[in-house]
Amino acid sequence: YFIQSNLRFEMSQQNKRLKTNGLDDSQAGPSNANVSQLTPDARALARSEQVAAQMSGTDLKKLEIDLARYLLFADKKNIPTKKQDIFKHVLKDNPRLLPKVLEGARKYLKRTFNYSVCEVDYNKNRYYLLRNNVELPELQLLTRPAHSHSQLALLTIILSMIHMANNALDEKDLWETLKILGIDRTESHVDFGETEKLLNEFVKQTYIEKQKVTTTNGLVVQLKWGMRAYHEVRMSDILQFVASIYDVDKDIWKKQFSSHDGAMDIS
Amino acid sequence: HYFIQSNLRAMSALGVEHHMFVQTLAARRIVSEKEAVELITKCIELSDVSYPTVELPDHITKINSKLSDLFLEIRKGTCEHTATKYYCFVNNQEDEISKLCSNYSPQDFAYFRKLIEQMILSDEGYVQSTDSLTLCNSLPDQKKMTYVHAKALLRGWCSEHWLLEDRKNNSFQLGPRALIELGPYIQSAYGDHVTSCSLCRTLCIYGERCEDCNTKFHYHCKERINKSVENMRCPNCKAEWS
Repeated sequence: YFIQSNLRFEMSQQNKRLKTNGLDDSQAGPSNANVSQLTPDARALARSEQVAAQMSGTDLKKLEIDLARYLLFADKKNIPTKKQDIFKHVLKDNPRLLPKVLEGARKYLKRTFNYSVCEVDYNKNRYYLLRNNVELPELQLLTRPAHSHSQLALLTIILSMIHMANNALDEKDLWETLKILGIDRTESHVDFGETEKLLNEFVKQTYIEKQKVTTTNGLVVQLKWGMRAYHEVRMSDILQFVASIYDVDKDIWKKQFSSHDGAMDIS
Repeated sequence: HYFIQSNLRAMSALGVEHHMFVQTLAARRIVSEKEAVELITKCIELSDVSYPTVELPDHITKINSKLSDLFLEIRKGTCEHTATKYYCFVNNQEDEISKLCSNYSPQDFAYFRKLIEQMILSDEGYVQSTDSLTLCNSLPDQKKMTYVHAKALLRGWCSEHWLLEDRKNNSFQLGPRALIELGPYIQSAYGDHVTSCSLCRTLCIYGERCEDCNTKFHYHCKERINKSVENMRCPNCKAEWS
């Protein structure tokens, strides 16, 4: 059964993180350049340092810890944290403090768990996602509960299918192919339960996006990669995965090597 | 002085093996002692460091020194039914943030609180299965909880070790996770109504009481003391135990 046999490969690829064109820990902090040459993020950090200077160290520390805890707990639910969420639940009275408080929260998460905080701009929102700096594939098998392994395998298959369809996969085609693998849209599956419900979970966790598109066949629902897929998965790894199934060299798929049209760039 | 300080700080920094361990504990929330030892051994092996012996408590102390700033902790405890030891990743600060990220609805929470209250306030420390189920009828929400939903919640809480089902007795009691994570809360909220085991001095919800001197014991603590069958006496007042 090829899902199970490719699970180990899939797990090792899922672990490789994607550098986005957002910020991560190494890029945080103002540069020494001319103020007018500072990026908007660097200016925001300078501003927040001014506001923070007026606070007591204890109050600032409390906010840093609150933010670290918030990012940690939110990550457990696998729903990406938006800037607005942080303003609403952590920095209620002091939104300007965000860059400074984030700097502190980063330190706690780094030294305790070896997590980094990535800032990702996507669809006019800024998201905060945790990245695991421990790059050991076996760790994924340890931290994820047994029942989720098969779910991740399914996710990898779906992302692969979307990628091979140039980031525009008709939902109808998805279900037709899954049926070949023994996964029915309406029947309960032994591993996945109601597979359609699981697909919607993936959408909620921003691994996959659904879009209504007008084609020659009328209005269809198309599936694309979501923000979290770009954050966690490298396209070249997906290509490697698909190539290994067909036992070919991934170089034969020239088009799928390039980034998705209109989507985020990969580095 | 600064040199010593900065080196001490570096020495107490967590290694890859610790990060792997704490990440796994945070994900799995509760593991048995046996699983914990297997886990730290595996983490040490995977991170390519070597220790002369695997001292789990030392590693946990090291990790806890970093977790404490975030009001988190890896705490050890014992199941009152099976006497199995567990390590639990607990949150020590019940605030708006931790409440936000729960998987259960407010109504589910209310049901859970009602259940454990019954267990805590009862002297035997358990609630009959049928009573556990009908308890969902007396929730203060307008929308009634169905028995189907209540049953699913009970099953889920048992699988997460919040509760424990005693099939022989047809009852539910507090599981190791509830005892470890909510122990301090139970002491502060129900202080006057709960007792500690006279032998091990920790909170005793599910246990046996001596009728003569009124002290309470964990079943496994009592078993440890009373080795021979003839010696069925209360460890406290030495009265014969029926």
